[in-house]
Amino acid sequence: MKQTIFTIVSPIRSGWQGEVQAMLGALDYRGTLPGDDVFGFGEAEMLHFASLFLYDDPEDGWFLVFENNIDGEIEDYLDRLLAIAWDRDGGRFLLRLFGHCQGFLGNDLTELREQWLAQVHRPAAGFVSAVGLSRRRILQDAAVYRVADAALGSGAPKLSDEEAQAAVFNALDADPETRDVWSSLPDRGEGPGLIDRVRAYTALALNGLGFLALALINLIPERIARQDNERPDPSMVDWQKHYEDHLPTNHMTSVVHLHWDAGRHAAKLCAFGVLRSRVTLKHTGGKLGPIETIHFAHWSMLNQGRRLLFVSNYGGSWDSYLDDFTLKASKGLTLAWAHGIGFPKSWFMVLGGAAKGPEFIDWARRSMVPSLVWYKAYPGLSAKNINRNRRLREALVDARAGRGDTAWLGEI
Amino acid sequence: MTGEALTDSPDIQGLLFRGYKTLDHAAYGLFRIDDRRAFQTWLRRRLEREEIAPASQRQPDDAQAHRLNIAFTASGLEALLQSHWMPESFEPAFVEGMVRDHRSRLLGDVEANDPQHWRWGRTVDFDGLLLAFASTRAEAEQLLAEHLCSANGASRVETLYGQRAKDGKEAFGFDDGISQPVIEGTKRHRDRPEEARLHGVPAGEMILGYPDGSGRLPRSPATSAAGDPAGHLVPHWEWPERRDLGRNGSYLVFRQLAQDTKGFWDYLNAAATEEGEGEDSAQALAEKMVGRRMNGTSMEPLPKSRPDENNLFDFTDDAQGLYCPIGSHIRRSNPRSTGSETPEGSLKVTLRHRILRRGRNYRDEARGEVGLQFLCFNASIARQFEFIQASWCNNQFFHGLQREVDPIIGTPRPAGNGLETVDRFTIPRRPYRRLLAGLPSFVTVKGGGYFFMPAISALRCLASAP
Repeated sequence: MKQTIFTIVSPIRSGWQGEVQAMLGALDYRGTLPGDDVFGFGEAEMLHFASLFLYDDPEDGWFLVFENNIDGEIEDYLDRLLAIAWDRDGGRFLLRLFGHCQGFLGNDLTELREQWLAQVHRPAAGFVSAVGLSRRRILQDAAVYRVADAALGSGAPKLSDEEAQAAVFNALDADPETRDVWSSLPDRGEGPGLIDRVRAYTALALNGLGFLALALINLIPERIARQDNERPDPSMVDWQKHYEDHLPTNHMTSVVHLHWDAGRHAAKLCAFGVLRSRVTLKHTGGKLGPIETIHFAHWSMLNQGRRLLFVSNYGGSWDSYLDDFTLKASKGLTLAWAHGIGFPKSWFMVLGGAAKGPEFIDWARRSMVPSLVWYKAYPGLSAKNINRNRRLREALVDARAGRGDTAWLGEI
Repeated sequence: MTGEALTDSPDIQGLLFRGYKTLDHAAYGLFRIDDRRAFQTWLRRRLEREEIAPASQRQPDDAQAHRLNIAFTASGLEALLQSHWMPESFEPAFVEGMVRDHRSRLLGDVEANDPQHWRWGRTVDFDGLLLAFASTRAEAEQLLAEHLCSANGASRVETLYGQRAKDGKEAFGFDDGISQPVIEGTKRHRDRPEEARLHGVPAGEMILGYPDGSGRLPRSPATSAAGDPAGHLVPHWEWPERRDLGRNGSYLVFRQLAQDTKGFWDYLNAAATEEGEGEDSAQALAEKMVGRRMNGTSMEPLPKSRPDENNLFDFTDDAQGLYCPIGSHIRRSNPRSTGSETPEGSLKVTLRHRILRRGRNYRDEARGEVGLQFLCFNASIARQFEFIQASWCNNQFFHGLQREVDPIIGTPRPAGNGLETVDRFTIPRRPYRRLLAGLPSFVTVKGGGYFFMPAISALRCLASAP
């Protein structure tokens, strides 16, 4: 199953940003669904995570951004979302919301579909933890884990391996959520094939060489660029935190202004080329380097490449996430963000920067906008839980087929 | 300044380096500043008479000796500094205080620990904390009564008491206070290389004004040059036109934690399926929850017999938690060399999140309550205390776990908001785990606050601020 990350970036008509903000702010999507799921996210079987937020660009005005992390193709997903909207309220909510955006009169859903497709932004680089696992598969795997866990009870008195296996098999066969699905696996899809890998290696080499040359060329502008040491505005931070930590998973949205000279722009393109190739080749096992908490994350260029959007759906608190950034993955983060105006001083766009804990954390906080609407399809699961459940189910399929041992009991 | 010189510094308040182990009793007085000038006069006199104990005063050996230390809330520093109070230079958590909706979600101060149930700290109606240590409770109490009075411009809002356990055990019956960070450069750091590897931190992790684990100076509170006309403070490293109010000081976290000892052992006795010392006995299950044996030794199969060697494990030979469960209290509070890609990388991360604990047990006879007056020092409340509390102890996804938080200090939660009940504890075993379910809160927060404990020189500045 192929997963797709994209955003729809819609400029808001001048003066209507307050109305859009009020419409979204009145909703209660904080990871889970509110009583009135006006977007129909709960019914959109292909959707993993979604969010909506606004940002104010000093040159181009206000924008409404609609982030989506889905299974399959964009067109299919948008068709499903619009069909749900039609069934719910004839699409009135979506038409009213996006009717405040430029170029759309809010007349009908077909027109909105065209508008959305015209405003789709695909990531400059993106990461998916559960590569190839559809939302449906993730929920099925979770049910298998839940039933197997319940079958083992408290573990006292302890059953033998064989007894424990039999108890789990019986429970999985009996439970309506698992009985027809647990002993076979839907096609997980192919990983990157040979041609994809050759392409990724070639891109990595070319972008890497280009980046090295550009890192030298850009060294002087990089070093003389101003570092912004301002502390974040406490009232802004308060507003952002209002939307955080309602679940053990969180959402981060950041819009950064970029240096826009030719040298930096070229370096930026090469840097994201390197990041894309590395994700394709290396980060396919549920971890982004040493960070194991991210479900989906991506960077996109906005406003003709003058702004950089970062959106992430991650486990734990914002502080722990930024801690991971500074202590575990600062080079990769600096590679992506070194072109941001006010970014902590870096060397060769890889060193320093995000490694400067307090300055980087403040800079990241200042760049953030609150996620007014945020949805996660499986709120009780971390990225590590999903990978564990996948391993368990794969081992159970083997065990039912008489292959392998009972080591899978240790996964429960 | 070397670590050795730091621990004997005449400028750092003594509690940072001394547990005052020969002084069995402590009285903690939360106070309000009612008359700024009178309070400043009182503080000045205490400093002139060296009554606010610096680290250079050795452990008291005289039965009549006592020690006083002092810390302030944001409102206390604002009251003393007035127009020279620069809140943006302090850590936001300190300025905001412990009780904010968002912070309560992070710290696990919800459900039974919701601040609305606290006895103190729900609203910060105090400006500071005077800590009195003495041989008897009456003497400690007398010190507070003597100093926190209207003649000195202060009034006591609340008094809490602490007592050093002679047997070193906390209320559930476990040896406590075993694992502490070791400041680089100290004799202990030099003499015990393995302990230094696992627990060694630069001074700046605990005390402001010195490089921290990143090799750089931690952020430090400031005041204006005009706020320090007598020149007690050095120029601030980040804002040269300001003065460094934080140097040789530290942020102090205080939480009163009631321990339900009956509930704890009743739960374990009900969960136990065997008597004596078997792996399913109440004591064995309790030890798994804590992550240490009751006598303080580690959970390794062959624990070291010498007490000073009981803290030299790093979990690298116990990745699955078969000895010390992944979700146990001590492993969540200090995961040592686990949690990241390599043991070295993990330990490096862990060492950025250590705290220096200075807590004492308490017994409230009137309420029939026992527990811990938890106090800890750190250079950053957010990066150290709050990180441990939020990202490790109350994180239900900690290291791949699910539906469980720290079985001792975590906050169990009912199902809701799309999540299942969080009330489990997993004990990894072969061939499969032992599960404890339906855990209630054994530890309940009764109050708390964030303070700043300034250096002696910074106290002089506060005492003379115009």
